[in-house]
Amino acid sequence: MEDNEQELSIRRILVALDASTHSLAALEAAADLAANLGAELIGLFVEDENLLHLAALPFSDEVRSPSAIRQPMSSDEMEQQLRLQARQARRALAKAAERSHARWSFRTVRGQVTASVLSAALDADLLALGRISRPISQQSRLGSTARAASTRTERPVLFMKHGSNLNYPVLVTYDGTPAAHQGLATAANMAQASGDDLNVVLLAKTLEDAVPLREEATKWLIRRGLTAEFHWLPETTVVMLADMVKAAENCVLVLGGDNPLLHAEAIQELLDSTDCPVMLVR
Amino acid sequence: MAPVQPLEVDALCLKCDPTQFSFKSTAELENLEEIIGQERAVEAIEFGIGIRRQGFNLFALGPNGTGKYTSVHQSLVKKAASEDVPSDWCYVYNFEHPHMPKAIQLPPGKGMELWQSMIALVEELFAVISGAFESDEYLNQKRTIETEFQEMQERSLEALKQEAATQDIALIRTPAGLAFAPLKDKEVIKPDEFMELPLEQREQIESQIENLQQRLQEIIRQVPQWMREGRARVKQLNKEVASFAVIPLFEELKEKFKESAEVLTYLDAVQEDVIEHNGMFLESGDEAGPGAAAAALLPSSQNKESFANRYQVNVIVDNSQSQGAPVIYEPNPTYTNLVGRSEHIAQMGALMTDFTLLKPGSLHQANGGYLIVDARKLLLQPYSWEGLKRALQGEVIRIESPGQAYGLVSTVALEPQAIPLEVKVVLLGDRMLYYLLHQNDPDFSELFKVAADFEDQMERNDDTNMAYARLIGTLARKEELRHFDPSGVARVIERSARMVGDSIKLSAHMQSVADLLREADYWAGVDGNDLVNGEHVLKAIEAQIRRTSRIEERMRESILRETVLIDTEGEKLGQINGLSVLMMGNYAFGKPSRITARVRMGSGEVVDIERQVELGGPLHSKGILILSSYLGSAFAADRPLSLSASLVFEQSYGGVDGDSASSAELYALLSALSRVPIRQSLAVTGSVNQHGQVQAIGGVNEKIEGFFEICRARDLTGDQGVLIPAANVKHLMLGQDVIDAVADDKFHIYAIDTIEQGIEVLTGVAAGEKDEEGHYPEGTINHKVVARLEEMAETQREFNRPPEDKNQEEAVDSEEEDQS
Repeated sequence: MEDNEQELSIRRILVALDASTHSLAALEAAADLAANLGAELIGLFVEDENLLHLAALPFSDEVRSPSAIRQPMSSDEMEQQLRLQARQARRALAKAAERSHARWSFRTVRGQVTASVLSAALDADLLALGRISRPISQQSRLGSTARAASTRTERPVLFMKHGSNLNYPVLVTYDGTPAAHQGLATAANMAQASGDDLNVVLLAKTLEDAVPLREEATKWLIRRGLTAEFHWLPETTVVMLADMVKAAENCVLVLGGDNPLLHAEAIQELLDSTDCPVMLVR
Repeated sequence: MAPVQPLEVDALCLKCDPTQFSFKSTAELENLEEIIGQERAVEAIEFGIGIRRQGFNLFALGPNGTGKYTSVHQSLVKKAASEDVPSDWCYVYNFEHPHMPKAIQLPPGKGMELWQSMIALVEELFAVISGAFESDEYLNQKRTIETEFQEMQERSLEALKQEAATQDIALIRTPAGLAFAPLKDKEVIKPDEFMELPLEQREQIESQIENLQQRLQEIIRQVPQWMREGRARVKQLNKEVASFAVIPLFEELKEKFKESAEVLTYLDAVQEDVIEHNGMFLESGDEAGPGAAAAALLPSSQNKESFANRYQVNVIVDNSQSQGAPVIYEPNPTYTNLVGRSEHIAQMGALMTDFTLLKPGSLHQANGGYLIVDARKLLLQPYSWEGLKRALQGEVIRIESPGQAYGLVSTVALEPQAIPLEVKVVLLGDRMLYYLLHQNDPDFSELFKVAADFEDQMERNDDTNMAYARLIGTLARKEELRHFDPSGVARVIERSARMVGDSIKLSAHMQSVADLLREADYWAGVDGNDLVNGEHVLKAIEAQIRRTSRIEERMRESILRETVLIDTEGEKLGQINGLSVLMMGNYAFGKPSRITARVRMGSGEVVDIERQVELGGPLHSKGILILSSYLGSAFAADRPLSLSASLVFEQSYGGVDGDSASSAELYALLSALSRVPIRQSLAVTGSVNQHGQVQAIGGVNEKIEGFFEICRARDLTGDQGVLIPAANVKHLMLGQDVIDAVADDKFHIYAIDTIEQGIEVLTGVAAGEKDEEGHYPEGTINHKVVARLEEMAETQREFNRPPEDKNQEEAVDSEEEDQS
């Protein structure tokens, strides 16, 4: 790893906002990051076309929860409700940005949620979003947008869950690839900004393979005036990583590199078995 | 009629001879345990205490300071010592009706034991229940139940979602709930595309969605029920776990109190309540209970503390240290001090109360024994008398505020269970109160059937003299005073007789006697004596008088300086020295007053000037009317009484009452009528009746001493003295100065039976007795009076004759003159 390799620079953070508590957790985390990295916050609310189409169907009824009353839907009412949600999202964004003294902007787009978010993410350096919006079943751990974001965008993505935050030691995977380096650099930035410990998980099949990785990372960190604790993960599996995360009790997981852990199924499995914030850096 | 002779010295004061006592000091005498001179009252007290029937409460009546409290207290303590210690009483939480705390009766000493046991129990409950609920077994079972019900809901929704998916329909979340949407290319079909579908297909989709929606509704409707079932299952599990944990603790406690069925019932209720509210004993637990809204604003620890308060025991009567039945004196008999009260604490700006804030009254403390209350204080306190009567009539003590008792407030308040009352109440009060209550309160005679009437004086004889000596010894010992020698005792006895104004009685006002002893002890201390002797007692009496005699001295001074005119020498027509008594606080003194009478022709009325100006009281007026009647019947029975007389107390500005001056007024009148002057060296007291008899009056000693002091200040001439009714001789307990003056023949006391005797002493002229023809001997007072009255009558007749008759008569007279 050479010093002149381009480090990941996060200047614009896109937060996908909906009415869910998970997205508010993502907003809080993004605001913290924006404060630490001096980045700009961009709030995005998508007026879901599916809902508008549904409301415009002639027979469409919604079953209200928890009263179980059936109520006919109308386009006007649906638009009104979406506008209301957008206003709430904007207010939340303004409040979070004010707290972290970050520059911010907010926009509302109409379209398919996933496509709109991924499209907007192209203009940002980091996408922050809740793991899921408002699930029908508690068994659903990763929403469709989050799932798409985990696989279909090249941008770093931060997945947040309601109740978690970024004020914990940072755990970053490192396999020596350029993406892994970017992950390490991002994790180092986060740890440095928040003053938390940095833990590097070396992904290598053998100890012999792990040693050069460690030296490489150490060298880089020393030049940055940083230290880290190193761990070796001989098998790059979700189960082993999840065990390590659980052992750390609370942490922020940064997944970097090019390895099976960055596949959508693996991410979903990881999010199922852990509650910590997860950042993907490709 | 033989002239009245002055009284001998012996008659002036019944001295107590110190030689009658065989002791040298009262230290040799045994303590006087019984109350002297109050046999009637003591008998009544013993009867009242002995009879255990409703309504046989006591009223000890008599003046203050006669030993009512001491007598009653002594008798009660003696009786109570041999009686059983009454039960303990506790108030506990009523789990069915929290505003009606339950009362529990326990054997003496067991109340505090229950209190301590419950405190220990609550401490253990927190530990035991928390432990049980932290066990892995419990947590697994709870998780299983919760997951089961959560999954039930999710499975149903997931199944419906899957079924919809097979029909190309999606279950999606809308802002307010859930809805089904037909899909096209995995997205919700656009409305215009939908409308382009064939009618049949559209109808099919609609029908499918309708069906799905109905099933979705059913599922959503079932959710609350599933949640309820889940909660009920968890609650049941909690109860099972809590029961298992707490029952051994309760079994232990029940064994300890197995004798008391009431406690066992209470413990059962506590056990059930603890199991029901097991969440309150957990670290993070909180449960909705009574007052949950207010409790929600308080910190959790405070919540738990206030919740655990319900398991406290409020011991309101603790007889663990008692011996015998209680004897309680209530010094401040307010309503709440008698029947107890429920206190309040401020919580979140509101005043709250509960059973732990119930406080006992003196009726609770005295229950099973005796309660002594001062009647005057009781009646001065609002609602106290009615509260006490209600408790005695109902034979229960009910703690309720006056507002509740009188239905004046309707806010939610505690209604503690009433406690059965068995108490003997003794009221202490003066006689007036007793008779007023008897007359005006119909309940009084039903509730206070026994009256213990305390005397304020007792017989004076050798036995009571000796009892007095023992009493002095007892008080000296009790109050650590110097003991008294026989002369000291004798002077105290003499003073005691003087206090009641009777030579053959002694004062039963022990407070005054005790004060005299304390003061004599002081003077003995000043003298450096180990024993109190007669001199010290006399010094104490003298100092007492000196301290209170300022007004008496000012009045005497005004007489001596002749601002107030009183003659003590010479003779005057129609003028006499009357005597009156003034009472300043508890100090009485005598004072002479000049009484004058003037007569003129009139129609028979005697004008009482005091009465005319409303300065004379009814008794004084009565005296004047009686003497008028005497005058008329004695001297003008067969002819009109043609005089008009006026009587006045000279220089009296403050009103006069009593009839003790009526004899003096009559003497002044007789002097004015007879034109025979009265000796101003004498003063007179005594009332008169219609037959001219002189009757007894009060304050004879003070009156004599009052006149004596004036005479002594002007130097005794040997001619001075006082006329008193003969009936008052037995009341004479005069001071040593008067006795010495009489012994030296410088002052004289005359005991008078009749007006005739008195006028003779006063004028030196015999009154005169009627001869066989009904005439008085010439030169006597009565003769002169009759002559004057006849003269007046004649003159009156002259005036009343018509003018012609007068002319005719004059003509006849001149004829007669001419003839002569």
